[in-house]
Amino acid sequence: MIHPSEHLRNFIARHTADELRVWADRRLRSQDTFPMLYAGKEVEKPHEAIAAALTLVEGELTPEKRAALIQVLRDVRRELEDAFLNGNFGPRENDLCKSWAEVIDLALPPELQKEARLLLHAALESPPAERGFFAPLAAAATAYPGQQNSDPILWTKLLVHPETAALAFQRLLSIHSFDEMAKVWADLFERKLTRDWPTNMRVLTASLLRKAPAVELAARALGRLLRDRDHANAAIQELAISQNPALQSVVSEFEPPSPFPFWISVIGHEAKPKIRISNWYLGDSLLNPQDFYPSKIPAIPKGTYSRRKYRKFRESNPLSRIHHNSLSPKSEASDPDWSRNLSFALGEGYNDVSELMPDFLDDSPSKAANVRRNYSFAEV
Amino acid sequence: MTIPPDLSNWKTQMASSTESSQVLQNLLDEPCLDAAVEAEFFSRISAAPSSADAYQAWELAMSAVWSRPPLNFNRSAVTSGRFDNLVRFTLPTKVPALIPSMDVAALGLSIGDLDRASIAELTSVMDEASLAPGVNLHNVVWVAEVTPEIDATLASPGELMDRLGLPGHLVHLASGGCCVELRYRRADLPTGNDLHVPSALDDIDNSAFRPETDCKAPCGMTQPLTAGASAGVPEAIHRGCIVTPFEIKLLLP
Repeated sequence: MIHPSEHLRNFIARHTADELRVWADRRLRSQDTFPMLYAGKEVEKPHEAIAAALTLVEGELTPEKRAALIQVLRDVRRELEDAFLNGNFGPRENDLCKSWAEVIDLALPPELQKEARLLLHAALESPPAERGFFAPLAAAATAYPGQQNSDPILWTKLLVHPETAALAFQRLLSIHSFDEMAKVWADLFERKLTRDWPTNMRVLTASLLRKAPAVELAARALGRLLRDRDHANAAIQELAISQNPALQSVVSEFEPPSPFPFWISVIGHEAKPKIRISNWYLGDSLLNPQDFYPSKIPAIPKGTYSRRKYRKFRESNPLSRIHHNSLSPKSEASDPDWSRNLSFALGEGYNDVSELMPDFLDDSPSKAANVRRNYSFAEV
Repeated sequence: MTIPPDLSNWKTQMASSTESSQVLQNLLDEPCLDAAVEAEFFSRISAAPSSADAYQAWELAMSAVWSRPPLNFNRSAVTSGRFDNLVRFTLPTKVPALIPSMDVAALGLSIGDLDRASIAELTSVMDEASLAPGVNLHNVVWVAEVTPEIDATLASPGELMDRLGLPGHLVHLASGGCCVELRYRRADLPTGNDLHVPSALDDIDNSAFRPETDCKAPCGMTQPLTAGASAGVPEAIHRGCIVTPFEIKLLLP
C-alpha cells in the first residue's frame, strides 16, 4: 500500500480542512508533476498525494479533513457524470477522470465505492469519443474486494470491451469461486484468450495458471500457447512454475499440430481429424487460409468493415466462412465507437452485448443455441 | 551558499523543522555553485510571498529551483571511467510511467493493482517490462554506480535503501512490498545528457543528502538514513531522457 511520507503528514497536519479542499481540487486538475510530499528521489503525479493522504489513520487525518478530501472527489465525480450524460466529455474531462480513478484505485476509500460504480455505468451508457479514461475508471470501480460476484451484466460488458477485457479477466481470476464463473463465461473466456488477446496471452495465461483452479480453461489456454511457436517455450515455463499436475498432463498428451490448419485436413486427404485433448483442439487456426489457397479462398476485404459489407461478402463467398474466426480484432480496437462496432467484431449473431450474457440470464433458448453455433467450428 | 540578510525570516523558518533544517544546512554547506545561480535562487525566494512556517519556506525553495528555467545541474560532470553501469530503484506503481510502451492495462492491471500485486504477478509484469524500451522523464534522475559492493548489498534490500537514503522505498520493503531495480549504461544516455555531480539545489526536496564540499569531487555520495555517513554510496544525476535498453528486476523484501 501507499506509505505517506513525513512531509505529507506534516503538510496535512498544518492545513485546515478548507485549505485541504482547495489543495486537493487543484491537485486533481493539474497535470504537472510535484517531486514532493511522497518518497525522496521519486516524482509523483499530483493526485497521488491525495491517495496517500486518504490512507492516513484517523489520528493523522481528522474526520473533518478526510470529509473535505472525500467531498472534493464527490464533486469531481458529479462533474464527470454530468459531462458523460451531457455529451461534453472532452480532453480536460478525460485527464480529470483518469486522475480521479487513480486516486480511487490507489486508496479505495469505502465512502466512494458505490459512486465509482455509478460513474462507470454512466460512462458505459454514454460512451464519449475520448479514449484513455475508461480502463482506469473500470479498474477503480472494480478494485474493491468482493464485487466480482455481483452484477454479471457489468462484468460481461467489461469482458467484451477492448480496453478492459484483460482487466476484467484478471479481476475475475482473483475470486475463489472462479470455477463457477469460468463455466458461466467459458465460451467468452476461450474466445478472448485464443483470439482477441493474442499479444497478452502469455501474461494472462500465466495469471490463469497461477491463480485459478479452473483446469479446463487453463488447459485450453495452455494448449493454445503450445501451438504458437512464439509462446510455446514460455507456456512450458509457466506450467513448470504452476506445478499443476492436472495441467502437466496437457503437455504429455500434446502432439504438435499439422502445419496445415484443421479445415484443410477435412477438405483434403484426412477425413477424420485426431482429437487429442478436447474439442478446443479443433478451434480456429492461427494460420490464414490465404497462405495455402490464395486463388480459391477470397480474402476478407481490407479497410473499415461494416456489418452490411461483411454479410454481403460472406453470402457471396461461402468458402470464406471457413476463416470467419480469423477476423482481426484491430478494427474493433481502432474504432472509437466500440459499442457500435462490438457486435460486428464478435461475429454475426450478436446485435448487442446482452446476447453474450450467461445462459442463466437469458430466457431465450434460441439465443444460447446461437451463441454455441458461433463458437462451433464443426457447424460452420 | 551565504543567505542574504533580507531572507533572515525565511532562514529562521527553514531552521524550525527537522527536515527543512537539514535542507537549509545542505544549502549552507554547498560551496561550489556559481554566484549568478545563487543570486537567482535567492532573488526568486525574495520575489515570492513570505512563508508562514517551515514547510512553506521549504516549498518556496523548491519552487525557486524548479520554476523555469530550472536551476539544476550546476556542478561538474562526473569523471569519465566512473559510473559505466547505472542502477536506480523505484516503486512498482512508477513502472507504467517509466515504461510507457508497456500497456499495463492490456495486461489486466491498474496502478492500484501494481501497489497490491503479489510477487508472482509483479514478476510477470517485470518480464514484460524488460522487453520494452524505457523512458525516464524525471526532471532530475538519481543513479548509483553499479559496484561489487552494491551487488553484494542487494541481498539485504533494506540496508541498501537505507544507504541510498530512500525512506519511502525502505518503508515499502519493510511492509512486505517489492521495489523495482533498473539498470542501464552511461554510454546509452543521449548525447548532451551526461552525468553530473549533484548539488544542494538538485536535491532541494530531499533532506537525506549531503553536498560534496570538494568542488573537484568525481561524484556525489548519498546520505544514509540511519547508518553513518561512511556507509554512503557513490551517486550522480542526469536529466530525464529515453534510455534503452533497461534491465529490470524485482527486488524482493
